[in-house]
Amino acid sequence: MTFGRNALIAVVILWTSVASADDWTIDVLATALQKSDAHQVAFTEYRHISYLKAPLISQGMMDFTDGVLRKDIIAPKSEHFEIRENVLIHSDNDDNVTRINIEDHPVVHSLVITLRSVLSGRFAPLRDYFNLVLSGNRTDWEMVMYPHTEKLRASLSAVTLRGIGGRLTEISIAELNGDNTVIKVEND
Amino acid sequence: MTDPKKCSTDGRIQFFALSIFVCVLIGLGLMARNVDVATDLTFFAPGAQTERDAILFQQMSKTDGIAMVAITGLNAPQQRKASESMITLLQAMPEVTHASNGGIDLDSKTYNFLVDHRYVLGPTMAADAFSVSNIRAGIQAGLAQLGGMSGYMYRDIFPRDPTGRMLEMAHVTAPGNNTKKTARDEAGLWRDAQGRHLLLVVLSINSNDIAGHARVLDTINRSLEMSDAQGLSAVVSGPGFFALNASKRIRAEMKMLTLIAFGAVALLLLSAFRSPSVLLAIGLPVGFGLLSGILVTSWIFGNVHGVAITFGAVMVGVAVDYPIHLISLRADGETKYGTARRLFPTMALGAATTFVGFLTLSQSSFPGLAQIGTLSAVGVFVALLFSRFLLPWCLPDRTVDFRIGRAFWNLLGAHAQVRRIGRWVLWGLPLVFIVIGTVTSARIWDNDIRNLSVASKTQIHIDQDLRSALRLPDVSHFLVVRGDSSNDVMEAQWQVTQKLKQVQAQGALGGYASLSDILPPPSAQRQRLEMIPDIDILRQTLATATAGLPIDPGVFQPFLDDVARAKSSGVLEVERLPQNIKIPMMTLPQRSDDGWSSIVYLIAPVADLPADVTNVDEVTFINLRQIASDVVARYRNEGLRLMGFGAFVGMVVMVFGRRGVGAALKVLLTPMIAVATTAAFLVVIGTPLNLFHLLAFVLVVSIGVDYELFFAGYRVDAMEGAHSYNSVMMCFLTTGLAFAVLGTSSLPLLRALGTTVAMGATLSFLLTVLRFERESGPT
Repeated sequence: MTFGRNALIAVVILWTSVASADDWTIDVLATALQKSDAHQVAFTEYRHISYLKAPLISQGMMDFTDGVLRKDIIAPKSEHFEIRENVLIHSDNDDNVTRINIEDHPVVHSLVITLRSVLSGRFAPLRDYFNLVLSGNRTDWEMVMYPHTEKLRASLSAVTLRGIGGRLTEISIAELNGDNTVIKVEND
Repeated sequence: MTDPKKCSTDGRIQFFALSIFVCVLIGLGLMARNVDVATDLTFFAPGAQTERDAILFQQMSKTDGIAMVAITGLNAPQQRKASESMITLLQAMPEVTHASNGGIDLDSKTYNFLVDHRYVLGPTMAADAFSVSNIRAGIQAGLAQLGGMSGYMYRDIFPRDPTGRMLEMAHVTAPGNNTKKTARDEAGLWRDAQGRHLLLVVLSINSNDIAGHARVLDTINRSLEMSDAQGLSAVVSGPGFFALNASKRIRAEMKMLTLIAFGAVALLLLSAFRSPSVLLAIGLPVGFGLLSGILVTSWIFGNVHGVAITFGAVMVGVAVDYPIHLISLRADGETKYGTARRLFPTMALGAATTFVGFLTLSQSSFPGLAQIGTLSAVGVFVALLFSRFLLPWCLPDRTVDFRIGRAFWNLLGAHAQVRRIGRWVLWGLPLVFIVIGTVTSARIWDNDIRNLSVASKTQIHIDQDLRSALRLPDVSHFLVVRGDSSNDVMEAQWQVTQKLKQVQAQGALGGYASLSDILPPPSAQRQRLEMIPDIDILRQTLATATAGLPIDPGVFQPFLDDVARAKSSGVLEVERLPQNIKIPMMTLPQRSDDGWSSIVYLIAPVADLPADVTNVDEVTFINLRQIASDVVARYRNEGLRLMGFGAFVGMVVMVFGRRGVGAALKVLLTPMIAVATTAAFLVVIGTPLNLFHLLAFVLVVSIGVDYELFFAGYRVDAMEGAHSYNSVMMCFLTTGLAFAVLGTSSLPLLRALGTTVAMGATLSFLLTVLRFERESGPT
């Protein structure tokens, strides 16, 4: 099964490299993202959880500065999250602080790796966790990321990034349990 | 003329005897190695006279260890990084239950247990906890949380916990949850106003495990050494680290002081006797006495405390006088055995008064003092017998030739007026000091146990500082709650905790750590169980509460299952709790001979607690410092009574020995004036007296009696008189020098002993020398 899946990924990668022969490569995409200088983006997130009848929708801002990833949710309820290194820090209004090691939570971990890489334009960390498959062209691209670490593969199906040139427009996270999250990124 | 052949034979016998005795001494030393030497704080633990004493000593010796750590130096990110790597190293240690730098996470077993029983455990539930509106509000809040970053972790919990009860449980188990929160940095780690990153390490070892604490400290230091950033340092405190530092300090100081004192006394003896073998022979009675004392004390008490050995060694050290007398007072043509036989009655009389003093102290209910008394009494007795019957075998043919001593006496001899003035000054000194002490109302007795502590003021300040920064309870203030059963204890603890909440709200209390906030008593648990509706009703409530929300009520079947289980499980009693449940900073009620008890720690500031908190039958407010002071005062008074009895018996012995009350008083007058002057002087200079000063006074009396007895035969023209002066002077110089060195110690106990004995011995010597001049008068 694993062999079959890996073979399929290899074929896809091979196909992708041919399809991307118009010099729109992963490295070029990384450079384009880096040049875009979009360290702060607005987003709308659709969280599909299997036991919910409708997706949960939230809106806010994401920011990556000085190695700290911040996620401010404005609606439906104001909340602030920070990720420093591998720790997610959440403070509530009563000054209770929760610190969570994101490596214990594959979905959050993958989302954090992705956001950091995309917002900084540095793909090297991504390759430590995912096999990257780029398709499309400069004006409409899609990069599917298949987890290759055991921990991520145990709960994650794939993470898909979509965009236009150096602009990221969507992040989609598909989990093995059927839940998925789509984050629509609104660039200025 | 001495026969050279005889001298040679004598030399061989001396060498042979010396070798044999040294070998036996080594053998005794090896035997003593098997003695159980206690080093914990049980030295101070009595067969508790009162219930409060028992609490004090339990707190001193059996509390769980904690380490409070502050990382200082460089900048916040570097401190943060060091803090994280320190946590990783500490968590891997078997001595560590939990290490945290920003919150307390419970171990999974405890967490699961609390979650499984969340409807009977934890903080009070609202009366309408299971109403439609409350459950709907809970579900809406849960849906909002599901949409956030933490939603990924929460989505599996939500179907079990739509009311958010689990989060309430997590917050209440953190230490200091009832106080102002510990300050944090931007990453959520504890960082105080002084810019130090803080860690709290809960240890699995108790606070008197010195070796375990040393390993924890080593790991903390190693983690800083391993960090890339040089320039970081850690300040560590906690009850066990006090003991660790004390142990290190005592060892280092004892090593240094012993070396200096031994070196100085050895140089003095060498310069006076000009023979290394004299040095060895002089040490034998003390060595035999000390080792015998250790073995006998161990046999009687089951073990010997390290502190008792240290003090015992100092006390038995007076036996160094016996060989000095045997060498110095040997008359021309007299055999060494002849000298021993002649001096034995005088030596025995002096030793008897010392022996009686120590023997009465051995009856103290303070086990440390009783051990010192026993060890010293046995030591002096054995040293005396050794000096009488065995020591002459190995004593070399030497006499004292100490020029400085001779010069001193010649100086005094040449100035009669100075001698007279000196005499009156010494006799008048105690009166002067007593008058000054009375006028200035100087404090005579020191009841503050902190003044006996080996912890430095800096260390105590650091501990208070870290405790305050981490919002931890001050272990010196707490409530002890008692009852006939564990349920009674929890019931009383629950009641008093409700009152503490009010006191805290009024600002008279910084906070508290009470188990009843997590484990309510059975009555409160029953009330909660009654609040839980039937499952069918709850199912209907869920259906109504989820109307219009994007979730089916069926999703919450795990919640219904948990509630049903809670209802059927009934109340949780202390005795039914699993063994492996561990909540940091809190202890379960303990069973003792007279029932059950539990502790509620109070967090500073602790102002006067109202009567309805402290004047409850089941609750006792404990101020450890106050109890410790009472205990110190009680032991001191007992010590005084025993010393009074010892003085009386010593007087009787002296009357028999000197064959008359007048002669006995003449001998005892000098040590009494020396003790009175020393005591009054210490009080006047602001050093109130403690139990260890009393111990020193016993020694001063012993020394003074010895000087008086051996100086009694002095006549300035007689050869015997010159020998007697030399002998007493050598005894004084060795004692004075050794105790003066001890008096430089930074440890209050050793300093008290050293300065008191050095001063007392000096006064005794001067009083003896000057007083006898009046009777016989040098020409």
